Amino acid sequence: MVRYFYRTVSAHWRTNPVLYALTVLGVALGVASVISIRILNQSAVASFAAGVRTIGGAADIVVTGKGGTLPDAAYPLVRGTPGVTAAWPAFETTVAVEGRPGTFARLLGVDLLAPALDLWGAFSGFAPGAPVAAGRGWAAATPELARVMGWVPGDRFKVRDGAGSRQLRFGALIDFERWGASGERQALVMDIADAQSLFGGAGTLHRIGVTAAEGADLPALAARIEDRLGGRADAVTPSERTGQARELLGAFRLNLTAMSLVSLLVGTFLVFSSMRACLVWQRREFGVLRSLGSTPGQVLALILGEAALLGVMGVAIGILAGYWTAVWNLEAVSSTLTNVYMLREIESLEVSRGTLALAVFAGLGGALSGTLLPALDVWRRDTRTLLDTLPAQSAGTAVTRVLFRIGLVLVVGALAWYWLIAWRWRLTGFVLSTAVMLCLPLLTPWLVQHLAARVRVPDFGFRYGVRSLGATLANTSFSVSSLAMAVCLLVGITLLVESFRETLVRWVDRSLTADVFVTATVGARPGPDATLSAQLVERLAGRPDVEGVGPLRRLFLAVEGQRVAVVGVDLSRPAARQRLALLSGGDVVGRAIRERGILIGEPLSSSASVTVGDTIEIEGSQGPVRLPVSGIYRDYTQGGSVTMDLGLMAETLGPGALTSVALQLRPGADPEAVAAGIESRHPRGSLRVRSNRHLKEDIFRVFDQTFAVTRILQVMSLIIAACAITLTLLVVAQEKASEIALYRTLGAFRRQVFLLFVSKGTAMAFLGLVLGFAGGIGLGAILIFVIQKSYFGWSIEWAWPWWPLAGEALAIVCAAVLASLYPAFKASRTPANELCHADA
Amino acid sequence: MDAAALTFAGVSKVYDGAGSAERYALRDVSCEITSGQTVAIVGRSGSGKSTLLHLAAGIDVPTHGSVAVHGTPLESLNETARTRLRRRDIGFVFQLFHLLPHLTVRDNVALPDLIAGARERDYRERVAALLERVGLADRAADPVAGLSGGEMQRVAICRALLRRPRLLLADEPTGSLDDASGEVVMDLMLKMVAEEGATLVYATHSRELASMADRTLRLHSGLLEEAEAPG
Repeated sequence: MVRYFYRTVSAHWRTNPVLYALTVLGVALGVASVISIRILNQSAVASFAAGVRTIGGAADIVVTGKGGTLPDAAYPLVRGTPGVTAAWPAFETTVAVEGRPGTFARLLGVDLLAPALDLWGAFSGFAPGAPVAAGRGWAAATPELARVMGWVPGDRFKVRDGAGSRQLRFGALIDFERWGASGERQALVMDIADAQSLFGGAGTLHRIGVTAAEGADLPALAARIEDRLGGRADAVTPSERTGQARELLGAFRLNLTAMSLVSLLVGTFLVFSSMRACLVWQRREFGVLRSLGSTPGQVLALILGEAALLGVMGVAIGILAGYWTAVWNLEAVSSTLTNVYMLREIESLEVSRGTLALAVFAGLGGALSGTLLPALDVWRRDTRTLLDTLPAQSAGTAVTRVLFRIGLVLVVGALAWYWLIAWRWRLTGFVLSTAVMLCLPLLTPWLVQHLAARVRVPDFGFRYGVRSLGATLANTSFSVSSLAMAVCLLVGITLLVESFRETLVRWVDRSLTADVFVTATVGARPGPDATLSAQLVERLAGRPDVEGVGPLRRLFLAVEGQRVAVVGVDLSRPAARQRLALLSGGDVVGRAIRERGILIGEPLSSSASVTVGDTIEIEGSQGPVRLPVSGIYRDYTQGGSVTMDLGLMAETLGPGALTSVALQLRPGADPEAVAAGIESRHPRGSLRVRSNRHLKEDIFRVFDQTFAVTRILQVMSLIIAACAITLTLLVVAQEKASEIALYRTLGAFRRQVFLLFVSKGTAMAFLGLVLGFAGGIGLGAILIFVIQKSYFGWSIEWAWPWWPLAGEALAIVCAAVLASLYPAFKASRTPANELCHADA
Repeated sequence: MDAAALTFAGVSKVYDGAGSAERYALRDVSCEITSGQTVAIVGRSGSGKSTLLHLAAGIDVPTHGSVAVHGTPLESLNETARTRLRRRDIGFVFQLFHLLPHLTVRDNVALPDLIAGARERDYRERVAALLERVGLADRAADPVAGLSGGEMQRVAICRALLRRPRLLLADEPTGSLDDASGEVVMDLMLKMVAEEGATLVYATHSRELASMADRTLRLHSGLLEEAEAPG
């Protein structure tokens, strides 16, 4: 039997290459969509972990300030905590490297000679005759940075932060890998005192690395350190820190993973259809084998063996396609992490053994599970039935009715469960989405059957095509289901994205009313270290074309245990009031000023369960402060934000420089020209000056970038669904050869048969569209009102994006028509005398 | 003199056999069937009866020789023209009925007109009349799955006669029926063909059924010969 297997597999491929190629493609697309997302997910977390390791090195615990920094005085307290055998402080900032636009480096200031750090083994390539850390400005660079910049030891170079330009000297290479931590690829390391003095951080630390005594209870030690620092610091292990990033990215990753699983599900449908097609084609062969003495088990083994072989091929292609899909989407995801989640960019893609194992599991599992039902169908049939020319096709009405009822119970039950019990549970949205997606294939057979039966057939055209779908219900249902699920995903995401966009448009139009926005940057990026000097703000206010200046100071602080943006604005200015889309009416801002209260964004209100009248704790650099919440505003930032009056901010959180200003221009002034004029008078990379139009464009560019990756999954699902239509029609052409021959005998031209099959494909597309749109509207509602609300706390207003939806519907119908052309051609070549072979 | 409905002139049909051997389904067959005649083709399985009917319907082409339907040589027609001729002039009844399960009795009968692009109002009465004629008017809206074998073949005969073909070809029309049902169906088919003024050529194994025809031709190993007159 093994020999027979090897001989027949290659013969099957030669005889029906399209069918087998489509099967492999189905597996490959399913695998590719799953692993591309996993690669991106893992790389995002790994990239963040690398940053943690860079500074943490071999630390057992890393101590960070709740207000963003720690005072120098924290170091001896940490060092003296019982159970701590060594500790090393670190100063950290991000700098732009001058001479090569777009090059940034993480700059770490550490005690280079600290025995606990043991950095010696990581240094190499010292400048000849230069002692380590000799003199001010000495810095070691990672090999990647040195290579990119073309530095050799001894070279002098300039870096820029928010305060200006500094000259450093490249003294040696530092390889974090040799230090025992695979850290960042572009980093600079220098003496901590030197870094603090050069970059204006005297007396300030960002982290303290801790080595614990052997056998120490790390959580207990971390708690002791936090206690000694008066609860103003977080002490966490590097793995906990990575876990925090994993949690921060949780919703983003969950969304992508869920969508990739849908692709896999649709892919499994395709495998099911294609394996069914293969089995239809080989059915008589199995009948002959059975009549020659093969056992049903041997036939089953042959079928599953062939499926496994196709699965392996699909896995191999899927891994390559998945990797390249990840590479293709790297920039979009990386930008999302930076822009939305304030995390590092992804520097490299990681393909772990787990990912490869997942690919094998998904591909082989999909192929085998997709084959199992049709294989069992062949297995249970007797020899005579296998040898029949005209196989029984239609599923009984009773079966379709049962499936339909199960589908209804599933979706109604899930909704009832949500309303009555689980509406507070975060994962509910995903359970509801799964219920919607799963009910589609359950409802499809009954709907197809009844629709087909009710269609009158006045001609041998489209309606006849619809009517005949009922005659091939098993095949048709799978194809329509695949398409419906793909359309459901497509429509649901389109509704979410376009509703979100529409909401954002309204929000942005309301919030951004100034003409020009000036933001301090480090290099080209805004950050906590980038501030505007008072002189600059004065100069801007004094410009003849500027009518008014709206000051803004932004800090990233721990609020109710979450790190969020705390924004200080002059609340007495009407423009500042206008930028807040408040959820409740009345003079909320006036009350905030009077009560010395703050306003919080909806996401923070939701995640911290805080509402108007409550108080919240903000960890400032001078210690925790508790302030009353006077109002809640719509907010579409990750994690939310706090807005308060600038005066209150200085009083409670300490004085500080502004981070950006909004300029209101005099009538007639050209915002673009003003923005360009301001930018040209300042060193490149120290300011970001954008007109209102440019800022809005940037916001929507980031928005589109964030959702770009979802488009790939949508396209993959659609390709899979189109393949399913091709396969189904190929199966129908194969199974219904006698029926086609009858048409030909009764006088049907080849072009009529061709058009009949195109009609069938189009009819399946329409059915899939109708079901998919219905499901998609449900899915969209779940995404908008349940998932986004529970995960991000965003209120999104429902919008009907008619044109995008119409475009998608047209694309689906076109794809379906294209997908039906080849099978239609094959069917039209069926000879009329094929029918008479059945009679012979 | 009556015009020829079907003419075979030196027709051979050769199929590729195993290896390089050729297998003759028909050998140098010549005959002429007059319009309005009923002709039975008898012979054992594999004698070439079905092949002869396929050639007559233009759904297969001879290797040598010429087949003409009402004077039109089929070899002079391309695929589309042969289909058009079949649509207009030829009806076909199969041993296994080949009714479509997803259509009702009425729609199965109407199928040739649907294919020909006729409008419903043009064939509605004709379909009803044919079903009335075979006693199935009350089953018109039923699915065909519930019919007996005899009833299915009656529906198939209605379908074959719908477009008033001048030539009706039937391949073992009673082969799937019991003797009693077969006789009823055959009798009905002969009567209806006579009423329609069509020519009937049918293949059968049965001497009794063959005896109902005006003329009997015998096929043996691809060679056609005139059988003795019945009775």
